[in-house]
Amino acid sequence: MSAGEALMPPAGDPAGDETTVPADAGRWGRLRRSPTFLLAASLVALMTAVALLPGLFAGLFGNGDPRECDLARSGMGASAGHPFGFDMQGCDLYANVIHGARASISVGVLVTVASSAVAVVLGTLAGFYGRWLDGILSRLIDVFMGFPFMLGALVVLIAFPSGSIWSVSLTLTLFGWPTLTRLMRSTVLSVRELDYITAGRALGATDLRLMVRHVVPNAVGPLIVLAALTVGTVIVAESALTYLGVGLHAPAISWGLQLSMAQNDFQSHPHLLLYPSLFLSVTVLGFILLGDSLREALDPRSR
Amino acid sequence: MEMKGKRRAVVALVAGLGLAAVTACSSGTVKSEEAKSAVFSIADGLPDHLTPGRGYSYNQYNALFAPLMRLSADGTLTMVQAESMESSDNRHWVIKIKSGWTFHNGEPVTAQSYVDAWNATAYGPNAWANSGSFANVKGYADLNPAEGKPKTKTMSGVKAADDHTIEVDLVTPDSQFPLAVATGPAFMPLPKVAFDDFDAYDKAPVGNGPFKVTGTPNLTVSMEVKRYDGYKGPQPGSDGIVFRFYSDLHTAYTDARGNGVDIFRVPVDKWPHVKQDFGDRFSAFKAPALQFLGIPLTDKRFRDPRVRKAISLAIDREAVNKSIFGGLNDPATSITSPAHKGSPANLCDYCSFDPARAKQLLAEAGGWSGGPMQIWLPGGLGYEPLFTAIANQLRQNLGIQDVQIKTLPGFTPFFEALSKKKVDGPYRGMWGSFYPSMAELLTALFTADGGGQFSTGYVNERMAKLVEQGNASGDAAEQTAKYVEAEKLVLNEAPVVPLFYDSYVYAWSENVTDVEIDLTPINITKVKVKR
Repeated sequence: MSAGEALMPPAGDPAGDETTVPADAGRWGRLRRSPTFLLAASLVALMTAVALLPGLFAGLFGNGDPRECDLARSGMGASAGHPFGFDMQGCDLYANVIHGARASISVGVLVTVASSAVAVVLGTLAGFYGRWLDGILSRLIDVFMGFPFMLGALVVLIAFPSGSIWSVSLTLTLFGWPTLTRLMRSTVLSVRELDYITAGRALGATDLRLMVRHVVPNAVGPLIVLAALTVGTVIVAESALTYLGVGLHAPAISWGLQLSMAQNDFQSHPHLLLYPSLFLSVTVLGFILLGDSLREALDPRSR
Repeated sequence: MEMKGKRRAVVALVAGLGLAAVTACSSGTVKSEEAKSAVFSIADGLPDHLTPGRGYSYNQYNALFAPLMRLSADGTLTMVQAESMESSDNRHWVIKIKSGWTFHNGEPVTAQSYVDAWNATAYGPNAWANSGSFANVKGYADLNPAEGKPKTKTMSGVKAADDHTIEVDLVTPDSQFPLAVATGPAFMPLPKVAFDDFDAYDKAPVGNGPFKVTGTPNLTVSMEVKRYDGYKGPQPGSDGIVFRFYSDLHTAYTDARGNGVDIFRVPVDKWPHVKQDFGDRFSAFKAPALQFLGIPLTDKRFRDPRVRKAISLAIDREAVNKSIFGGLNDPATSITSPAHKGSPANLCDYCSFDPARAKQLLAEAGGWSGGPMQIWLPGGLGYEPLFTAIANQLRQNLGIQDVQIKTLPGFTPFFEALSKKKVDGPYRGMWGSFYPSMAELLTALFTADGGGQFSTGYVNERMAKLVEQGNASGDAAEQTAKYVEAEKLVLNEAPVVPLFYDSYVYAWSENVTDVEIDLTPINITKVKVKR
């Protein structure tokens, strides 16, 4: 086996095969020079930090407890120490918006990671083995893609309401994996025909080894791009479902809930709508830009 | 008892029809073909049953049926189909009805129309929702045996002495019985045709009221009724009504702002905006209804009444009313509301806002050591803001670190959790009285057979005795004194935390005038359409 390994190109560095995946160094270089990537990466890094340590950021103006509320301040505008003003419960809106990042980003990341994991396993198996396995999985994907994403999630969440981050994530994963899996399958289909796979097979590498060491690493690039875009889509979907009353429930703190609560009062108190939606759109923008700049870097055709 | 029934009962409104003089406009003549007919629309939730004994679709009952009596907003009783209702001992009641009235199909309304309808409603195997209205009538138990089929189909306590006289015998004397008769849909009459096929009748009922059904209503979309020319009661101010059925009254709110629908009940989360959006075209009727926090009395953390009183003292009802309800409810100062006849204010000495005393009481009771406190409620129905505010106040004013709301997806799982004793913290409680009597509320919430007892988990036998004595008394002052004594007994043990007296808030479009909201809740015969 050791002889075979030596002959095969290391993963991620398919020397001399520039039409599939470019070299690591080249990718990095292009990425680092891309202003879009830098902007996107810093936005994503910032929002991730906010999601991980909300207390740190919320306390910046001295009133970091999102549940310290006084009805006497219900709906009031910005004042010293309260840059975003107060919500209808008289709670500090800035602290609430900051704490809302965690739920939204958690769902986005959870769903994307879970869907990608499913996509890598099923997409690789379907693409690598083809035949009946591919037939079954592709039809299954067709069935799932037949449901409109939002409508499907809406129906499931109405039927099984629980309102936790886990149930919302599970539901979104249920309808999110097919797109990623289909992409993974098609890249695996093209990768498995390449010479180094044939060479590996000729040298006696097992299917599992071929898939794990060579097929997946070389086919996963486009998936990563789509996954980054998916995080943004999922955050929007979570907010929309929560806004419609079937996603997360109070007492959770999330942007979708804040928007939902604001819908009755935004005419008289527009700041209730403004700040959560601002944070929501900036975060989604960050993930989508990140995906876009990754695609530019990874996709040889756009070079 | 069926869960949905309970929930509906909790928001129960009361039926009846306008008697007060409707004068000038009601010429009652047949309009010429060209004249635009004066029809208005009412936005409503999906109706459950159009037969009054079977459901809670009060707006439809008010249009299609005339009650025996009507209870006005000021608490006075006026006769509609009845000529008189009298008793010398509050146990044996004689109701005389007016002659010459007919159902929409021409059949005369007789005492037998009532007796048959009441027996059908009370008959256990029919399982009609308002069967309980007859629980105190002699013979009701025979129609509702604990096991097996009843041996008879008629109550021994209800008889038609002649065509225009109904005689009712009660098990225990009840001076409040006329109020129940005036407001309960169960006391409407049914024509003979109803008994051929209850379910067919339920889809397009023939009543004795001011309006009759036209065509076959599609009960998921809308239902039209038009003026019944043979109606002998006070004439309606309009030619007809269209009931539009909405699954969400927020849509009706938007429609009404564009004059697309005329009268609707305002969802509670819109209350703070209704004045701004509708100006004077809204009404908040002070209903005989109590919102309260139920307490899991079997939970040892809440066993000390001082803990429950502390919770009550920690809630700033005025502030909550102002910011959550737009000031349209009233903070509770007793269990029964001023809308309950004779109820005095300020019976509760722990319903004011006093955080210092709250903390002190909680400390005396040994403090709170039970971990997080959860306030349970059915979610997605607009109650979150109220209970979030209460949770915030309990956390801040009692110094309990973690007080959160706990939402269950809707009423069914909420009631299920209550009945299975899974609820481990204060929870949403509500009772709207069918008729504005202190006895009704106290009996419903705090006696073993009361319709709302499941939501308090508390029974007080001594109180029940006092209420019974009040019911039997013929003297109004003595009655009230007994009820007040009964209420004090309950308050003393603080089994519930009274929160607010509820209002029925309705708003209307620019197309209609003379909209009066009372216990019925819409006085639909009075409504006039602008030309």
